[in-house]
Amino acid sequence: MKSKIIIIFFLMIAFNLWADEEASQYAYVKSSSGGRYYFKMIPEVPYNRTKGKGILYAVSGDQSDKVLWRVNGWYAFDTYISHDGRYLIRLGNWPRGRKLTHKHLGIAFYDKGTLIKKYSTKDLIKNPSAIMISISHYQFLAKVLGFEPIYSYRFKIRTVDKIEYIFDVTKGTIISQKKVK
Amino acid sequence: MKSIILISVFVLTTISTLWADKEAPQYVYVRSSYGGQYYFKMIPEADYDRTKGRGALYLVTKKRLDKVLWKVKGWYAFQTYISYDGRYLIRIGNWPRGRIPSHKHLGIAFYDKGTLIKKYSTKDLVKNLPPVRASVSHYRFLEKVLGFESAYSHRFKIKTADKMEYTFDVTHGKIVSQKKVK
Repeated sequence: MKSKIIIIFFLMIAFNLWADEEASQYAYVKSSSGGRYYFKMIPEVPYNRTKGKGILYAVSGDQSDKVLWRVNGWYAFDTYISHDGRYLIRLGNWPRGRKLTHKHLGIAFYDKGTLIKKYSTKDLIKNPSAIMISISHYQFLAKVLGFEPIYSYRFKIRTVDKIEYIFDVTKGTIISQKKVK
Repeated sequence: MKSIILISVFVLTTISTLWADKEAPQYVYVRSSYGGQYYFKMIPEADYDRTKGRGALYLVTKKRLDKVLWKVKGWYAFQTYISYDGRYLIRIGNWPRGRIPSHKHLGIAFYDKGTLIKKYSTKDLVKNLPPVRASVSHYRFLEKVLGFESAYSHRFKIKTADKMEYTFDVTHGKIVSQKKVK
């Protein structure tokens, strides 16, 4: 009996050692195209990927830039701002688990800090076998292509199952989705 | 006769002014580094003077005010880039006035914590004069800024108007490679 407990103990340690390490949150800034606006994302609780706040600033000549709008209640490692500082694109953090689910955020769109539309990883991925699974997480995005053209409201992503989505960030709707090589 | 000359001069001057390319006015902007832990703020100092400005590199903090790490002054650039570690700045020369590349026109410059380490004129970069696209009062020497080779790299790429692709090492500003591309 004792030996079984020891084996279970070692298996648990081994699993923890193999588990993918998540990056810790940090405060960062993302500037808009042209640089007249920037979004500051601030984590609120250490080692909690879900708690944070963000502020959109209009750049001014001194250090006290003007706050235009805020978000709170979430933290994202990857965000994008439209050239006019109005729209925010939030990408879902590295999802825990090994299966697509509606509980895992894929992408979300905000207008002046208010959520207008969101998609789960399950909404975006059409071929679940294509997701790249590691020990404790999976990857659903192949690449963020960003705004195309730069000063537009069209935002592009490519999923791991090679679907290229173009979203209209003003309402968060999908303009086009196509399979690419 | 006098009146014809005067009218001709007046008309030609007016037409040339109307056709002149309009330069964008300077403005305050921010450029974040890859990963976003640093950003550079460029501030113009005099209206309609493309040469006067200052900049500051900030380390992002959780507080309201971010921490200034280094500064630059005496110039303004519409296009700047910051390395992921917030140490190196790449300054792209503003749209040059005139019609041919010159050693007086800045092409690209590299800074280490705000100190100039290396610069190249448009004449240094453009090897083949004809493809340089000239407009009425300016010319274009860059086709594209390709940026950092990879997200966390110190190699920076540009493509000139004569289709030369340069890769620079931003830590000393030297050219790592240059090749003709399509």
